Amino acid sequence: MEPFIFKYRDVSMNTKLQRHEGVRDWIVSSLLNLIMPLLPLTVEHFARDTVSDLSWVLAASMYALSTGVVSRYAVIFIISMLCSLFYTAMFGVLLVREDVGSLNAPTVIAGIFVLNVSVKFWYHVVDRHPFTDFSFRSE
Amino acid sequence: VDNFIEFISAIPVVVVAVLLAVVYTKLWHRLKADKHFIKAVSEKLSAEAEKRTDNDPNAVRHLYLMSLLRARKSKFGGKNHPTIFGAAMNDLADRDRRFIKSTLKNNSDIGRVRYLDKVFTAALKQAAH
Repeated sequence: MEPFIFKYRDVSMNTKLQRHEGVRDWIVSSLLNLIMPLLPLTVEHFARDTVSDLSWVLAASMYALSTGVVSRYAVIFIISMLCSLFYTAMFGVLLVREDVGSLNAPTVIAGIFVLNVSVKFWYHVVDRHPFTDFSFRSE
Repeated sequence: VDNFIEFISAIPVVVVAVLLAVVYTKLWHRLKADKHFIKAVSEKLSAEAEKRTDNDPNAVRHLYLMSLLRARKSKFGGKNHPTIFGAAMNDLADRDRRFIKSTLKNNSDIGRVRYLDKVFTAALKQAAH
């Protein structure tokens, strides 16, 4: 007898989101939550042809804060807050000493970006939670 | 002072890298869980169908349903089991999904199990397309 393999299409029990809709929500969510906050750095890059260390450190602080505060995972929330506090303090250091560099701020921004893109992939594509269903956010 | 600042500026990088590794490990296990679930249910089903030497699609569907319910009852997939079970349910109508939820909560009525079989028949038809 042929072994019976059940063919199925993934869909969440709660939301009935199809796979391509999950991918769409993942992309939209990443664009709005993770790319948009980095636009000021892009503007500075085009306007001055470089991004100052002060901007990198300030952006790292605000980026960690804005992405961490909406996280559904306590560990990511706490670590993002700590990163934000760290770079806020380093912003103070940079105001009095300009020769300390960017303090790995670009690397941390990149790390936080990849981390949140992965978490959003899990949330929207694997577990099929919608981004645009605003009523779902109140649950 | 410069060495100290350089040293502490490496801490966020290390912490974020560790967090990334943890998230990727968990995501990997989560992606594997769906496959393990389907494989386990399919194997169990094949074994039972062979025992009965029965190739009747309705009987196979019924066995699938019972295996799924047993897997659900034994919390297969750990804390991800509600999502994995939901993934196996295909494009059911909202009311069917609500019915299944309540049936799983009070799974003692044979009539309800028969109804579920009917629902899964429809789901399987959709899945075949």
